[in-house]
Amino acid sequence: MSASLALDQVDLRVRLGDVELAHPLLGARLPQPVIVSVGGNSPEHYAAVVRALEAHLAAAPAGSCPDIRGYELNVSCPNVSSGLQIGADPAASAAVVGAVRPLTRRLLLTKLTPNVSDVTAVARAVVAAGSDGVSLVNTFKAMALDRETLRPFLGNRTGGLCGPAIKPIALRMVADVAEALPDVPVVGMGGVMTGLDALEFIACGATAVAVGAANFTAFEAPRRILDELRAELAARGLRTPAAARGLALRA
Amino acid sequence: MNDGSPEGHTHAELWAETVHGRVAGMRHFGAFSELEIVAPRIAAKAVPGQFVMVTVPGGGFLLRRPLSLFAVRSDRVALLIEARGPGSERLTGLETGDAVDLAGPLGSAFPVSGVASALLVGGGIGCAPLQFLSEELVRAGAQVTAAFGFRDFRAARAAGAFAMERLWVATEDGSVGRRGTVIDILAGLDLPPQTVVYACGPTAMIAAVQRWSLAAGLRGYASLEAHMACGSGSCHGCVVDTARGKLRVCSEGPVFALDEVLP
Repeated sequence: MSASLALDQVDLRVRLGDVELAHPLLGARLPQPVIVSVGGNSPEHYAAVVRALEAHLAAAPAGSCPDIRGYELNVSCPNVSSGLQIGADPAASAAVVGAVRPLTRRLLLTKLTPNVSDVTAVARAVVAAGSDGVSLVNTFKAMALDRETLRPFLGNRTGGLCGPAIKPIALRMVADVAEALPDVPVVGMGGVMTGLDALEFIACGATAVAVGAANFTAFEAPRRILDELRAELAARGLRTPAAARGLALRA
Repeated sequence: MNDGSPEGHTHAELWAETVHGRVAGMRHFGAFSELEIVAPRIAAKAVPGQFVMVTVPGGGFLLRRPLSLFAVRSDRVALLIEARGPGSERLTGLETGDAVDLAGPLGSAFPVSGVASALLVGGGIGCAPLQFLSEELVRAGAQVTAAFGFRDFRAARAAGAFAMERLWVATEDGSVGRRGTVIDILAGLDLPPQTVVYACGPTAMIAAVQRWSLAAGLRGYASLEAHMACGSGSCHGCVVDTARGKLRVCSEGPVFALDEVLP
């Protein structure tokens, strides 16, 4: 699947230094804890969003808003000054983490782009800057063509490839990071469609697994994948997911 | 709490859980096919203007296809499908008894209450939701006039799938009905004042209907077409510009006020 997805899923209308919190879910009680995905084009953008959310949470009466446990910094956005993906540059990625880290004591994850030759270099940089863990992989930059005109199908010319097509590469990158940084929590993702896929990410060193594209095939996919993961673990005599962690890594 | 649903709601109500349907019939009308599926839970809840996300059976297609509800008949839903690519080709090749997964109903509805006279304007596959709408309008006591535009003879055979008393057809090549577009039909209609316009079709048609309605002093609704990945508001792949800002066709739409869409 190749998609151009708007990065406004949490619709914070950000003007620098003046953030308006507009998402309807901010006033809702949700049944599950939430990790907020934050995007931006400069360290100041990310900091402005996190600062505004922290202020909102500090002022909100208990139980009146979602249980926000942390932030995932999506560094796959283009940098306003260089135009390059922030996440392709270890120093630029670290600068984003460095701007946000002093603003919150909540969990801070950084979502890494796979569009790099060495994902471990960016992982090391963001962890050194204070990221509690890393999520990977984001989407692969890709193109799709209109079959008749042979012109780019996506309005933005390129989009992000996700889904089952990227799983083998995502597994390798998760394993690279887990081997390079064995003590760092890793959220593995990229084409998780079944419980076996989830188990493979855990075996490659993931401490948690995220499901994206599968939600588009069925809204109840995450629940099914969880049930399948339990069965896959049981079939191998593994009592917990932790028992499977790292089985695919070099000793 | 730990099953993912806030109190008072079931998963099915909140998330349009996948329904395992069964093909009850398939009829072909030129370039279009009417697929009827036994899906009681969806049939019980659906209102005109809404759509379902349909899994292409047999594997190989990751994303579901958003398809308007063409009709609802007791425990069945009918979809009108134009075979445009490998996915829709496989859907139009289904046979009675085949299994097909779908989720819905999704999206906003055409308002029908208090309407005395309705003008339904459809272009190509955009005509699909107007049959269901017509039935609800007639049930609500409205007088319904429809104007459909098609490319050519083969596409115009889709008109045979519709049951409407006053249905005017135009084709671009003049092979069926009036030569030209639906707008050429609208100019010749004698409609009561306060007629409500309901339009669904390609962007250029929506824009033309918008201009015509403005000039005629009529208000109405437009249902927009869009490619969708999730169909449920999360992927933001179907966002369009409107007078209310950027909105999602799948969630705030597909039905919008005619004067707020910006084709």
